[in-house]
Amino acid sequence: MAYQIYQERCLGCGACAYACLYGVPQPVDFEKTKYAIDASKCLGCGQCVDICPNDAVHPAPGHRAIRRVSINKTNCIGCSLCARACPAGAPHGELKSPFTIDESKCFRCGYCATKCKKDAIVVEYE
Amino acid sequence: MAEVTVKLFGVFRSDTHLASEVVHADSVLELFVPLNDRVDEVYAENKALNPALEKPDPIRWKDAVVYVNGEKCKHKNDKLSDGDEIWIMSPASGG
Amino acid sequence: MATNLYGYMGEVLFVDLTKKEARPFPWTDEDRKRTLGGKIMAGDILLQHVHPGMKAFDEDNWIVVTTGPLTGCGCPNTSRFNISTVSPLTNIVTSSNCGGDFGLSLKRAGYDAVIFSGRAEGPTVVNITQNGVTFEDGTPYWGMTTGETQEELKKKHRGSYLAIGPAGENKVLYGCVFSGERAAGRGGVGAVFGDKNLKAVTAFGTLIPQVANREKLRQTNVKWAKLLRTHPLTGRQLPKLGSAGLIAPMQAHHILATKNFSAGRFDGFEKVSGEELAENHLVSNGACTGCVIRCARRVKVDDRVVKGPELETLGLFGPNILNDDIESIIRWNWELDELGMDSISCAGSIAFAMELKEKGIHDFGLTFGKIDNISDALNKIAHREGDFSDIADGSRKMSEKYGGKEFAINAKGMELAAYEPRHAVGQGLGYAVANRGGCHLNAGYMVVVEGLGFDVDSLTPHGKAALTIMFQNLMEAISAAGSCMFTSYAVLPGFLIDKPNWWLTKGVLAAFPYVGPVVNLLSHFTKVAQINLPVLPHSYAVKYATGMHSTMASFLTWGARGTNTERIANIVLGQKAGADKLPDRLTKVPQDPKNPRTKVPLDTLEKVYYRARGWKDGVPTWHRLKTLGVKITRQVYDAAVKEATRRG
Repeated sequence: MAYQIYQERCLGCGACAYACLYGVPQPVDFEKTKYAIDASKCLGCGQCVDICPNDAVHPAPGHRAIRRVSINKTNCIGCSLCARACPAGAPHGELKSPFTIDESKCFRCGYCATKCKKDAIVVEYE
Repeated sequence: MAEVTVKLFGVFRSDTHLASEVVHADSVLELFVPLNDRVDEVYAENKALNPALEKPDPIRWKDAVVYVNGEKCKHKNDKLSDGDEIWIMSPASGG
Repeated sequence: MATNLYGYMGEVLFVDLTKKEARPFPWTDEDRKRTLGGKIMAGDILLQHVHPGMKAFDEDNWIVVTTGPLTGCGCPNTSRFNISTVSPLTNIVTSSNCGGDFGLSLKRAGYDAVIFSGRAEGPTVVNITQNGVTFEDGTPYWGMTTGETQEELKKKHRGSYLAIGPAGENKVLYGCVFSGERAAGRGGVGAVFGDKNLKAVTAFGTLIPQVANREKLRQTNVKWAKLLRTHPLTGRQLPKLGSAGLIAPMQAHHILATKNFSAGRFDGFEKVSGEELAENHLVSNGACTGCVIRCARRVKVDDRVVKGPELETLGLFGPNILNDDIESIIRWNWELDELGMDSISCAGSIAFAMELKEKGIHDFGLTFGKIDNISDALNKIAHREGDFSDIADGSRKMSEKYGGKEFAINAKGMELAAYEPRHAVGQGLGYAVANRGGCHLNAGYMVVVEGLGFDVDSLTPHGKAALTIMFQNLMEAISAAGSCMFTSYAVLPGFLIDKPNWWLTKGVLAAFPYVGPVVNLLSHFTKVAQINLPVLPHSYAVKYATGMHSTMASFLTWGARGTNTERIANIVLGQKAGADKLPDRLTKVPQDPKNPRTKVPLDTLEKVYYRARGWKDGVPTWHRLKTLGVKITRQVYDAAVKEATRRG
């Protein structure tokens, strides 16, 4: 679940690095002539795709987009780890009660799921 | 043949890595010949150290903005004298 | 979302610093279509708000931070934003453009613009996210440089920042605001921040602007990026040499301001040239986010890699104070960035101080060519110490106190850029008529036509007014869309630049001064230009990003409307008819004593300019404002014009 940067199309403008909430695109050299994505670090949220001026960002092989992220209320203990991790502030709720994800804020990166210790976040793929 | 100093600016300088050269020529147009010879020489020297270096295009009268002793040169056949200083510039813009 | 258009986020934020409250500011699609965004939107907002006699440090002055609809939509070189306010330096509106990330982040937080009003009780930081606005005690940051402030903010806040340094805090009249390493430099916007105790603003969000036609916009962006990368100016000179690459051509054309604009050439120019900078001091290129030109310089000061000087700083802290030591300029540039001060106005004020000493009028300890006390002077100016506080007020106020108006090189109170206009008279016209004061870009940037990009006769007044108007209008709209001014240069045909000695080039350039009437027709009857040209990708991009109707004509219209909006706002604020002046040195003293043409024939130029603009002595007619659709009532207009044209 990752994107990649076509190196021959990359112009080093850094827009992808700006757009990424997780610092994934990195310059390939000191002069920052191009950027590259480490697939193992990329969540595949796609925030960097449309901001690229030269159509250089494309799904990596095996990429599947996330269709929906939701909370399994049975497993959720309301610890708020997901809420604190989410850059958009999508998960919300009262401590010690099951949380809810505000889908109008959620941009489907799945980062919260990587933080949850109770297997309470359900990530559905396309 | 007059002995003149040619100073390069702009992309001509950054492409060729030449800043200032003394050449011998009778007219403005003629100076481009020894100048481009020097461009080739310098390129060969630099390429030995950096094989990836691209060969710069030759500098041509029609692509260049030329000044002789601070005055814009309008005619390529203008005669040169000993001690003349020639500026070769490329257009620029900015803010 | 409160809009049927795409590209925009649909919300404008209004922050009341006095009450520590934030609320939505009404802004409709009609407003968006009228103003596009950026400085035109800000000018329009200020026009509705300002009143006669309003001053920069009044509590009800507004700081209006605006983005363009294209920002964040994948367009190359289009992440710039604007800050407009009533300027303490000029007492009229200043619009200050910046290449930092703040605008991108503001949109991601869900806002196209934010307005700051009132005055906070103590140093304050305002934090804006898609989940709300908070007010934080700014006292821990007060006193920090712009760099330190942002480093500290980063520990608590993601996203982008606006920050002032000591100069803004101490209300240096040309104190500026920083976003990352880039400055909203001119007009003293930083001083207004300081007056409102607004030390910094943070913005962060995850929202993405939605666009009308994703596929067509993507194709446009790719073509646009290619155009920029292959054009001789944006694809070669600017990346290799930066704006600094202008020093040598300026020297050649006698427009390198030297010794407080007393000459146009400087013997030591090679030592402070873009070539010298690139060959011996450049560590790497830098760039604003999303830029495919990447013209910024990165250099070393002590052991730090920092932003290097742009052309203006090199010219004005170099030849204009008779300094040929580039390392000192590199250091001062960094110091100015950290202190948060406009390098152009600061250098111009320092040069004026040096001439005051030379003429025996007042000794600030500053002398032409003496460079060992400049760093100290910058610090003293930023902290308003001793009589350096006078320098912190700018050259116009200094000349009111000490005399020397003829060589206080400013227009309407704002210092001129590094281009000496006596050998580029169109630029001279531009400096005088530019809305915000002595700005070279707001002026239409005629120097690119008058010798730097290509070589139209720089001493003739013919055609200059018409070209100035067309460039001004186009650049105004390009800026309002969110794009960097350098994208305007791709409009200039490559062959005029690449092949200066070609017969076709020579023919076109010889004819240029005579295209005035045609250009004027085009500027006035913009309906003729209801087309999209590949050299102006901006108009396609606006169409595909927002869904709005957009052609070259739209851009010229937005531009004319924007210029007139700011102009009439200035008149409302108290600008008088006949205010568009240049100091006597530039209009009465020939740069070359043997050539009487080497001065700016301002009266001749302005006559033609005003006629084409539909202005009387700098005041727009009611008819022109209405034709352009500027939003102002007859009542406000009449009262303002009456005051502006009153004798005595």
